[in-house]
Amino acid sequence: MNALKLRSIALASGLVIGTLAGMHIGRTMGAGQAILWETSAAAGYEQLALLQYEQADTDHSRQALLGFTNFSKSVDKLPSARSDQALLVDTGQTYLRLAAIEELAGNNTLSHQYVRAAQQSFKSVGRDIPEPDLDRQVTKIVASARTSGPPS
Amino acid sequence: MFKKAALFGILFLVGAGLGSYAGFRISSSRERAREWHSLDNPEGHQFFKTYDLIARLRLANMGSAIRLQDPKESPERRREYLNLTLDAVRKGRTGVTDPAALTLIDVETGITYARLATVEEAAGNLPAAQTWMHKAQIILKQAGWKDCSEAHLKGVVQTWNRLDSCDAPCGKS
Repeated sequence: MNALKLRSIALASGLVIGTLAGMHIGRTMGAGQAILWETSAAAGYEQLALLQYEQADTDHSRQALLGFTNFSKSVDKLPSARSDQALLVDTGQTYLRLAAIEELAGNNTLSHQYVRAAQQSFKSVGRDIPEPDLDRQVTKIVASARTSGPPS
Repeated sequence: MFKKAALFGILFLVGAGLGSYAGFRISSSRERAREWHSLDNPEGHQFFKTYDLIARLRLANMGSAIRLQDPKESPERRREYLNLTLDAVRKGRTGVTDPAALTLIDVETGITYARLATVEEAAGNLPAAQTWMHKAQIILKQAGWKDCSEAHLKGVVQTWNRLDSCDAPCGKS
């Protein structure tokens, strides 16, 4: 009877300690896995969108960049993206590229809206960049697109 | 006395092993559910399908790029890894409805076709290389690419192999 009691105690204490340790490991690894997934998805989408921006015609470039800004808005709501400040910076830069595309297309009002959206993205990571500075960056993107074969 | 202690230890370890496994499963699935519930609406669920596929493709891509950049890798291993990407696309594409994401998935597929063309060309299988390159040109043309010439696609593939293998954690040696 005593031996059975001892075995039960051994098994039960092992189960309790093991479950607690397993839950701790699972929580840490699960959170790590979620962060890996989040950074992979965000970086993967951005890389493909940038490739489209460089290689495709204007319509497809615009579609890809807008796709990335929408995608990053959804990613930003995930708990795993809470500390991903790079995503917001990348989103801001994407808005600047969109502003350049619209400026090249003669859509100045829309271009200005994208500059404001970029400013908001940068502001959310604590970088308060004045609008004229962002306008200068857009001008640079436009100039480099004009010289190196822009999205047509 | 020693026998009793050993039995106690073994039973404790069995319990700890079972407990750890159960605890790990509970906790990691709870983490996954936390992500899922943060976007608990039909659009959110749709987004998760794209999110999952793009993350999978990114990881497969880095794995392929490392093998393509490593001169010791055999053509079989390179094909195997590139086919993993095509497999992920085949399985995941049907769940994606967003046109922008679908175009990007096509771009990824096109790049993989072009990579397969370079693998076959290096292995001396020229007809297979031409077939893959032709498939790459068709899909990238549809995705709006301005230059789909063989030389240009090979250049893009080389750049991507270099970038992807640098991004991979195990590629930074």
